[in-house]
Formats: sequence, C-alpha cells, structure tokens
Amino acid sequence: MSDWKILKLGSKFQIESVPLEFFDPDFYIDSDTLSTYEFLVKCGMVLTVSRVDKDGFPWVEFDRELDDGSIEKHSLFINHGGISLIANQL
Amino acid sequence: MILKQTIVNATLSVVCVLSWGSCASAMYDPYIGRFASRDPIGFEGSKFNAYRYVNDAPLNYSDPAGLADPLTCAAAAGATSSTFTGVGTLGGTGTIATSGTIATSGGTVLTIGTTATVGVAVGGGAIVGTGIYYCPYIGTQTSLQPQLTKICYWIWPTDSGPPEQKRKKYRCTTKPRGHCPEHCQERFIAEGDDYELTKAGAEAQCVAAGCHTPGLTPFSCNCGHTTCITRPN
Repeated sequence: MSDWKILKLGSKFQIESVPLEFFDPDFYIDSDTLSTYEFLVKCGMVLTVSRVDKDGFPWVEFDRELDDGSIEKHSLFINHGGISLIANQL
Repeated sequence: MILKQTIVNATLSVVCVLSWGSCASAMYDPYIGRFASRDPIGFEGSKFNAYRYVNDAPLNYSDPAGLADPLTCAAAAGATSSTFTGVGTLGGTGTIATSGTIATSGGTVLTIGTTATVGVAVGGGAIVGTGIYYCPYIGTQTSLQPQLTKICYWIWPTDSGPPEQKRKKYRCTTKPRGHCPEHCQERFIAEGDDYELTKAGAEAQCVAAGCHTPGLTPFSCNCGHTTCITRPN
C-alpha cells in the first residue's frame, strides 16, 4: 500500500481496496462514487495521474464500459489510501 | 452563426489488466496483434483499417475513447482560419499550430500560431463567430512525457462539421465527497454537447457551492468525482 502523496503527474497505480475513510460515518460519499471505487478494485484497472491540480492533488480519468455498451467517462480526485503504486516515472 | 467547440484532453490512462470488455473502449489483444474491438469511429480513423489506433502513432497521440483522427484533424489545421469571439474562460497550456485568434469574454485573447495559454475550457457558453477552424492536437511529446496531452479543437457552424462529433451529447454529474456540509450532499449536473465544457460546468457548480475545500477545516470536502455519460439527441 502506498500513500497518495507519492503520486506525481504520470504515476501509474491501482486502487487495491476501497479507502477505509469512506466508511467513516462522518464521511460523505455518494453511492455512485462508492460503486466506482468497487469497480476499480474489482477490475484492477491501472490508473495514470493525468493532472495535478492547483492544490497539489492528483486526478485520474478513465472510461467504464457499461453492460449496454455505453461508455461512462470518469474524473476522480485521489487523496486517500488503499493504492498500490506501479510506476512513478514519467 | 453559432460555432461549437470540442476539446479533447486525453491521456493514455486506461489500461485494464484483469477484466476485458468492461474496462476500456479498446483492448489490445497480444495474440492477434491488434485491438480486439473496432475503433468506435470505424473507418473515419483509418480508411483501411478500423482496428488501427491513433493512426499507428501511439507515441504521438492518444485516444482512449477511440473517437479522434489525428491525421484528419492535423490535415484540416490551417485550412481555414478565422477570428472568433465567444464566452467562457480558457486556461491551461498548449500550442496551437495554425493561425487565427480566439477572444473570450473574459478579455483573454488567444493567439494561435504561437505557444499560447489555451487548453482546457472552463465554464459554459458557445463560441460565436464565422467560418470553420480546425486546430490539431496540442502539446509536445518528450521523452519525459509519454502521455501526450492531446487538446483538439473542433469549431464549426451548427450545420457543418464532423457528424460523429455533432451527435455527441453529454450529461456530467459531479459528486462531492469527504467531510462535506449538508448542502454539498447533492449532485451538480450539467448537460451539453461538449465533453470538457460539460464536465467543467458540473465541477464549477460544485466549486461555486463551496463544496471544494480540500485541506480546510472543519470541512475537507472535494468535488472529487465527475461522471459523464453520452446521451442520445
């Protein structure tokens, strides 16, 4: 497990588990977002940091193909644990 | 005459290692030596092979959605140049490889033909003007940047332009998460026919509602998940 703070632009990583903080009763998370994380864990999708915002947080973008063949495009902010770094070089 | 702008800012960020069809729009099959699925734009990407990926130039272009054709776009660049005036805010970096100018209502004039501060459009609004202008992929490929940032502008009058692009309609939803105030426990929705603009519109609504406060206390809430789906006309 790695901390999200080591992520840089171009870093490749996987989400190994749904972040524990998501289950904190004081932590608000939309059911669709939770479902998306469960999908990423199950799929083992390798994500690439496509941008780092002005606050220094990494973002990833990925597509998810639904059962009906349509494509959902996702943009996700990464500031949690539960990730596994694969490569950290551009 | 209303011109529409489509910006694609994509990286080679989608790789699926365990699951096939559910993870990416184009999966490469190492056994048959090509992508297992047809490019969604079919022969528009290549006149001879719908299974080609970014015209066999993956180091120069990327196209996770399989919808762009860099050669067509590049060939069109400079064919027509015009001056456009519109609304919206442009930010980011990139190089526009032909001539012309785009002026935004915010007062920023973007000069095309030089390295300019352009790129990801933030906010809504249509670019209004005359003529047709195509700008190809923006960005530079270096050894330190394997994920080329592709920013492509398609601007065309409503009665012309690539039909595949005209047909796209997006509905984007931004959902905050974290230690968010109660009013942030909702979804912010934008609809439009431009992916980046629609996504930015939903995110901007979320930010404007005060729901993006990473690092601040007592709230550490972020507009951290945007989902965009295409919808039929």
